[in-house]
Amino acid sequence: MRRPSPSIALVYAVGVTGIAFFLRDINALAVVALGNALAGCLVGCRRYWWVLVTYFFSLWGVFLNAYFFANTGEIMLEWGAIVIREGAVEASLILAFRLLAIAGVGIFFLGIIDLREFVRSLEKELRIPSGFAFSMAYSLRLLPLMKKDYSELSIARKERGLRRYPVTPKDLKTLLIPLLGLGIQRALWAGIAAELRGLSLRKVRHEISMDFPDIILISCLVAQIMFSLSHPY
Amino acid sequence: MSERIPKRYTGVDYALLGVVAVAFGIVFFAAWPVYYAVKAVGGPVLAKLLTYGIWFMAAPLAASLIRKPLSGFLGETLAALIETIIPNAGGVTNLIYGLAQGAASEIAYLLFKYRKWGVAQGALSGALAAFPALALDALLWGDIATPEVMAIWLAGALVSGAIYGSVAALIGKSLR
Repeated sequence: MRRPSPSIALVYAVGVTGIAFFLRDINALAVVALGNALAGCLVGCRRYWWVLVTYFFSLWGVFLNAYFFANTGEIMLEWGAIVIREGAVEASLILAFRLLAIAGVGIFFLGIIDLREFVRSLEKELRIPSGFAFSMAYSLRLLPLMKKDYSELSIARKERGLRRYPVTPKDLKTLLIPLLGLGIQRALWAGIAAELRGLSLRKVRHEISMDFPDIILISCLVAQIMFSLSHPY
Repeated sequence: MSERIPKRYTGVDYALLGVVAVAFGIVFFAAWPVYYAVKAVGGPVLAKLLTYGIWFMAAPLAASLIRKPLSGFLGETLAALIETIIPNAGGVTNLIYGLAQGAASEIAYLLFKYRKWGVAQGALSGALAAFPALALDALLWGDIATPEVMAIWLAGALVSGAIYGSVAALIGKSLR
């Protein structure tokens, strides 16, 4: 099956995130959240199931936040010194659905795109400057290399009696300097090589091609925008 | 005669941006559990004081390494974009924060007309990012309290941004 263009998928993800933030009506937010979570599950749950696990863990923090900052209105539950009021429940539900919409559309976006295709599409369709696209592509290439550097540095830190994971700014500095030092050495040569291959002279043809999956995705976004506008509060 | 400020980005600059982005994309992603742990133990003020600055570090580091206009903004934005594509519950929100924080951090270097890239500018750059971060927290997540409490949160985030911003500038200085 053809997949939508990564740029359209990004526009969709940004659009749904915007809707999630500006919708205040719980029922409408629930519809948007559950719809996008379902779409996310269908497309990327196998690879990114743990994002949903993180989401469920964060619900406890969401409730605590609402309990401390919005515990007003009628009493809904009283348990010794703990009094849960209407405001806390409402605020928890709004935040929980908002997070679900954001996490759901995030999984959907990552499940539907191919990262290399995403960089190409940013440049070609969204007209991101080619240098910025090069930085992005280079970062993606660096990810596995820096992961390897990081594990080697962790071993070295452990051998020298330092904390394996950085806690203080000093820890962060002692980890980042060698990690970035190695990365910068690579970057110098990669940058020179890219220049020699004509990075600055490169011309990119900008074009937007809308296929059937793109039109469906855009229609879904427009439908959700219309739906949100009809449920402002 | 005044010194000309180099504006054109070369392949090496873009590659350096990529290095900063990937390093901080991972650091940003890893900072979330630390933030939640500190918040659970010490409350929102301590969490802001100890961890918020971590998310403001990419701009001062990119600026002190590359030393060209917009390098801070691009460094923070690209790091946020990398954080977005590392799957996490924050999704595209990270990119929105990155854009806003990057723009605020860039002001620190603009104020000095892109002529100074030291530790003081790094600290200012980190501190300035606290304003959009707290504004977005209030706007997007409803983290709104009394003006006094908000002022304390802002002070915490400013101090944190200044500390981590100066650390980032020092790192940039030692690597350059």
